[in-house]
Amino acid sequence: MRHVRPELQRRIEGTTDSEWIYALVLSQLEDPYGLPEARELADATAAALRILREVRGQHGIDISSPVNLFLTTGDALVATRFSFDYGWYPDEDTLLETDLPFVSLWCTLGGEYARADDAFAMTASETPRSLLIASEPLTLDISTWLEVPEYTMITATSTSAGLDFETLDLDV
Amino acid sequence: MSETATTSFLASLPLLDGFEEAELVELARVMRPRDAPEGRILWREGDEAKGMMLIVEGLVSVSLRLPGDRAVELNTLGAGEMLGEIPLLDGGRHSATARVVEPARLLSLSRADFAALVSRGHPTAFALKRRIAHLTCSRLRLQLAALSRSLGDEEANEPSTEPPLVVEDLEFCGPPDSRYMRRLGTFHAFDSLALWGFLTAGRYARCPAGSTLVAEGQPSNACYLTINGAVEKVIIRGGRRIRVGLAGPGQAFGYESLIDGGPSPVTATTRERALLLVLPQEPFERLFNGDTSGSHVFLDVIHRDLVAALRQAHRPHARLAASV
Repeated sequence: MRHVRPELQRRIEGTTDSEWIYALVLSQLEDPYGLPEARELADATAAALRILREVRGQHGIDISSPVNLFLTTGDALVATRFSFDYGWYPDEDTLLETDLPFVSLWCTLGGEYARADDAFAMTASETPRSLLIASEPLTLDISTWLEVPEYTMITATSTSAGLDFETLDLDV
Repeated sequence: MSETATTSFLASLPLLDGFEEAELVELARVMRPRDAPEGRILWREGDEAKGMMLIVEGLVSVSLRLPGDRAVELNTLGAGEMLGEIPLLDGGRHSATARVVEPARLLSLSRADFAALVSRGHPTAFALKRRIAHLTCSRLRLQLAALSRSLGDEEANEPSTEPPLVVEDLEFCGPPDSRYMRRLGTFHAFDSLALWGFLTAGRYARCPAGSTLVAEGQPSNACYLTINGAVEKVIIRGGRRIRVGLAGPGQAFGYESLIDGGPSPVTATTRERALLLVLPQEPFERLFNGDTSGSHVFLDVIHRDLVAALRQAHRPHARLAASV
C-alpha cells in the first residue's frame, strides 16, 4: 500500500490485481495525470515490477506469477511479457498447468492492418506506422508475427515520421 | 526413379553414411520421387507440413518472411541436401518458404510414413532421427553464428562469459515429486517406464539465479534439463547480448557439444533459481544412442528442443532483444 499514492488508492474500486498494478505503475510516474513518453512509462513499469518482486520476497511468495502488462497513452505504449519466479509451480496444485502457453505475447508491425485478398494482414511499409500486440497471432497467415520472448518489454511511440519501436530485456 | 536407384542415391548421402543396406532399402520404400520446375513453391512458411524432401538434383531457395511483407533468404540447398525435416519431427508448420530456383528432382518422405516407421519401433526411424538431430544441430550452429556476427565486428567477436560451473561443484539434491514431473507437458505422451528410465539416468541439482552452466566457445560437459526455474541461452559480445532461447520446465540445454563434439554455441545461465536434471556425457550418449523406450523419450526431448531452438534462431526478433 505504501508504494501506491493515497489519492490513487482511493480511486481503486475493484479487487483485481490489474487495478492495483495499474495504480502502482501510475504512482511511479512524476505526474500520474500527465501524458508520459514511452521511456518514462517503461521506467515506471519496470520500477513497479521491482517493487512487486521486493514485496513478494517479504511475504515469501516464490511461485510462478505471470505479469503481462499493457499500458498506453494513445501515443506511447508499453507491453511486458514477464513472470516472477518463472518455472516454479506449487507441488500441491495438481491442476495447474506447468507450461502456461496462454501467457504468450506476440506482435506484428508494418504499414496498416487491413484486408488483403480474403483476409486481414499487416501491409508492408518501409517506415512502420502500425503495431499490433496480442496474446496470440490474430491473422490466418501468422508468418509476419513475432513472438515476444519472456522477460521482455516492448515500447513504441507514434510520431509524424512513423513508429519508434524498441524491444528491451526486462531485468527486474 | 526406381527403388534401386533411390537406394543407391540414399547410400551416396553423407547424411546416411553408415546406414545398413537393409535400412536404406526400408527408407527407399517410403520415399516418393517428384520433379519440380523452376519457380515452383514447394511450401510456404506457415503451411501445415506434410513431410520432408531430399534434393536429388537442382536448387531450392529457403526464405523467411519478415514483418511488413519483406523476406530474407536463409539458404540455397542443392543435391544431397535435406529440407523440411523440422516439421517432420515436431509436427508443426513449415518455418520457411521453399522455392525451386533450378529445376529439381526430389525425394519426399511424408510425415505419415515416417510416423509409421516410428510407431513400429523400426530402428531405421530412430537412426534417421539421430542423423536429423546432428543435421539440425549443425544448422542451429550456423544460425547462431550468423546472429553472433550481427553483434559486432571480427575483432570484438570473441565470446565474453564467466567460466561455467563444473558438474562436480553443483549442489546435488533428491529427485522432485514424480507427480510433478508427469505434469510437465514435455512428458505427457510418454509411458511410465520410459519416463522413469530417462529421469533416473542423471542427478538433480539446485542452482541459484545467475549461475553459468555452459559457456559459449567451450565444450559442455553435461546436458541439462530444467525441472523448475528458467535458464537463459545467450550470445554475448562485449556489452551486447542476444537471448536465443529460454529453457523452462521440461526443456533442455547444453547438449550440442555432446551431440557433435563441438564447443557450445551459446552461454547458458540460470535466470531464476533452478532445479536441473544433470546428464553428464556417458549417460547422455547411452540415452542418445540407445534403443530402449527411455532412449526414445530422450531423443524426442532433444529433438523438440533443437527444433524449438532453430525456430527461435530463425526469427529476427532475437536480434532486437538487446539488453538495456
